[in-house]
Amino acid sequence: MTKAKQISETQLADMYLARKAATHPPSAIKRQVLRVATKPKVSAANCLQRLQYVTMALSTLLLVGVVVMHRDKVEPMPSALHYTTVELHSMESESHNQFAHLTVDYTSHSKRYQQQQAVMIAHHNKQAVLHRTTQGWELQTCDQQLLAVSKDLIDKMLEMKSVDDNIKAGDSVNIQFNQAGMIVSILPAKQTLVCS
Amino acid sequence: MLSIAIKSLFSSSQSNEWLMSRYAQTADNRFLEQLYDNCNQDLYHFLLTQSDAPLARDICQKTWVKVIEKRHLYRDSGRFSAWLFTLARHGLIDEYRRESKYLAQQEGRLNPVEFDAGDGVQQAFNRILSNLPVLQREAFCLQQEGFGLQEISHISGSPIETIKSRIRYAKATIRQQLEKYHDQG
Repeated sequence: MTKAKQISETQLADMYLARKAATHPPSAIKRQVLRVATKPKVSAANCLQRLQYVTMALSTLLLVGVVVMHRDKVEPMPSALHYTTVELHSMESESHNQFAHLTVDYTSHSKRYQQQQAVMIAHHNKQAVLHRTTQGWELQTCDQQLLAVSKDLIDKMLEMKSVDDNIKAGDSVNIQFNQAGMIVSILPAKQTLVCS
Repeated sequence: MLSIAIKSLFSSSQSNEWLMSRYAQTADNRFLEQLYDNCNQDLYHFLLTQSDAPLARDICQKTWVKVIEKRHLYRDSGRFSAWLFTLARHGLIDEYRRESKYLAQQEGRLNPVEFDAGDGVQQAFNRILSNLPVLQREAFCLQQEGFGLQEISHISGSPIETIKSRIRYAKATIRQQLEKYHDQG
């Protein structure tokens, strides 16, 4: 038996283990590894989640933008509820209509149109856009004022030729008032009304 | 009782495979830390045997970072330590290739070991081991780390018969050199 064979597997293993036991890994390795492990990572799941949030935010913004743009293009139906003041111009002394529940300035033209022309002198005017309704006309101004003109008054004014019968819904009109606030005439405006 | 139960979840009695699976699922660093404490001594020693201290430290750290980054790739079909050593070996070879050292090391011939007068048998063994050709040293160390021939074959990417030869030559060389050491003493 050669001497080389006297060194057994167990002895080799023991020497190997003794060598290993004398080896100490630097503690800095562990610190660095744990530092890397605790660093927030951008995982695929995180990316996907962030992408979802961004997509939702952009979609919401897009939706809001589309709604705003659409609203600007659509001509709003005139309604007294959108206006700060509503004026009723009618032949009747009282008017029971859809604006009755609102605080309105009621101007009765009932007798005056049948009386002297003097009161019909224009004092001031306003520009508005004309809308036709079953009850008459609604004149929408830029300062959120709605002037409702009853049908009978329109007919009277047409008779008196103080209203141009060629004007149609959507046209910009020039409304002339006398000193008392009565409508004197409604005529086509020279320029289209553009509210700023 | 509850604290004992919680602590037992992270005790070393849990297998490395269980710890790694839990770490891969939860990313809870307590599992990683336990794995590190269980395996790093072996890993560092292996790398130190295959290189020098600065490189061993560097590759050791990078290997654990790979464990963190690639935890989703771990498959518990094999031993965790085999996977760990495979990652480490690849890192070491990449580093050697960068420095064009790998081929030179592979082809290294066995040079006579010079023992110092004050060397004990352990120091003699250490010198002999360091002097072995790299692939023989690697195969011998992996076997000493408890890996089977199949695992060593997978880690090193070499056929089992080649691994057997390397281990056989390594042991024969170590024994012969130790005999020489005894004769000198």
